[in-house]
Amino acid sequence: MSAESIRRKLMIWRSLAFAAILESVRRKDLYVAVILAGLMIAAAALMGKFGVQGLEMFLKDVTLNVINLFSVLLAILFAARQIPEELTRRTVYPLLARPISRFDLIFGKFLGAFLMSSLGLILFAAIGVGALACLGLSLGSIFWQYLLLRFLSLALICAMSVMLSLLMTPSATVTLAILLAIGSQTFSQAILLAYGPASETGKGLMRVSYYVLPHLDLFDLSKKVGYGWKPIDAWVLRDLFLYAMAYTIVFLLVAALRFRRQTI
Amino acid sequence: MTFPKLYFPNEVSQVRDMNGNRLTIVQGGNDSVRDSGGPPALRIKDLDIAYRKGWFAPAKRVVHNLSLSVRPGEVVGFLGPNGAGKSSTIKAILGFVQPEAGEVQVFGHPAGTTIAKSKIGYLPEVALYYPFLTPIETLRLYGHLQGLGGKSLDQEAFDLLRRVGLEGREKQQLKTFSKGMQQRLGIAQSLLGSPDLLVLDEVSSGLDPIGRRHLRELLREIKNAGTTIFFSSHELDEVAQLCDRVVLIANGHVVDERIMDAELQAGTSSALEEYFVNTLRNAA
Repeated sequence: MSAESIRRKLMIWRSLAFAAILESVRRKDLYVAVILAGLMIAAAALMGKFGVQGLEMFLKDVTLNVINLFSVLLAILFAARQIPEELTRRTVYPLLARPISRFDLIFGKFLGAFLMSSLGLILFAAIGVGALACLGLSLGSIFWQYLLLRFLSLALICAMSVMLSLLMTPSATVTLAILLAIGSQTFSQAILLAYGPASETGKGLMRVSYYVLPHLDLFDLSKKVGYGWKPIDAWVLRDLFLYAMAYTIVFLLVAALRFRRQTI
Repeated sequence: MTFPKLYFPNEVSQVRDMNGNRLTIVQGGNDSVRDSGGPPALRIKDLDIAYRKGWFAPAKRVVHNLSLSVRPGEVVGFLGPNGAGKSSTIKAILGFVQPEAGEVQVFGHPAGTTIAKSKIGYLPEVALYYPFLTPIETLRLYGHLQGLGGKSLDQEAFDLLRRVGLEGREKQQLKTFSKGMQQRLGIAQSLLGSPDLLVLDEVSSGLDPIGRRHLRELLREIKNAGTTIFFSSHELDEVAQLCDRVVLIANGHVVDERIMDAELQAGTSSALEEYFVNTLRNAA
């Protein structure tokens, strides 16, 4: 691939991502973040009135869980609607009539969803940290690792949602993506609990499920941040980065294969 | 890659004059039609398109054994009743549907490839654009996808908006645009990057009489500049005034082709309407 074609690809992806972000901002999708900010700050201020002695762990836990939950929901809701909306609004026709491939469209949309949900994560994190700081609480240096892993998980979740949106209806996509993203930890634990007494066939199926489905719980350091752990080793971050990239690439490739010959 | 003339049977054998006599096209009615010996602007050969709803449902064939070709610089009207397969054929030209059989080429390149698409300006039948973007942002987006950029893109975008009558509305969000205004924007985006082949599906859909006149003048300018135009329309006036040739399809295949002679291009659509109705009646 020549430097010129790489430059052209980057321009295509950037333009598609920028249009998706611009549209989302103008649709006021991020207003939910502003409302949440108000609620969190108000709640923190209220707690502060009564003093937070002994409630530090609880407050940190709530803040980090809110950041997780809202950034994941934003990512799923935003990514899941990208391609289906293009199809229902028929905006896909003038787009794909341009000299771009269908993979370019998928990747540009994924990029838009990822950047938009990352923006949401930064906003939620700033609000959360700000609210805790109002109460004189800090999160330690592991918080930056927590944020990095959240970004990685958002990439994976956006790719998964884009892929699912090409395989099923938008509502089914959102439901399944939420189940997989939020219920990931519960699901892994359920498999581990049910594994012992299961039959050989059941064990085989559970093993496949355990290794095939993405373990999004691996990207959640909120408990460690809450308990003030030391930063984790760099090799763990590296491996998790590779893990997230592998799943993201696979999901995008499946999406591209599904969309490649789809009649529009 | 070029194809010998033999490959375009209906280009030379199915064209008839007003009296139904077969004619051989050597040069179209328009002086700008080029017979360069290079590949045709558009070549469709034995095209079959079928849609399937569900894996086990039988396929519904909408285009069957359709062949036609359009030479560079030619303006061809693609006519037919509703459900004849016009939009499906146009979708195959853009690579939106995968044909069951046959082939489609744009200037010698397989339809749907990026190189083929880089030569096409396309206006969809129902043109919808991002409601939260402005016309100038929309044209910038399409321009970037086309490989254009910088000040020249902005200049071209503003110029196109002026030409389609959207001057002064460049920074207004499209959610406030009427259907006709969206169609004007659609025409502007199809002209972005000065494409070699314009493919317009129901080009005047949603336009008011003034908009139609503007459009006709614009298309005439484009035609005079030598751009190949392939368009479907139910507005026979438009077809009569702009086309060098019409291709009539029904039930998914070409039933007739005809050069637009002086009588048909006299400015009224009644002769063309007669031809349209009679040919379809005979074909049925």
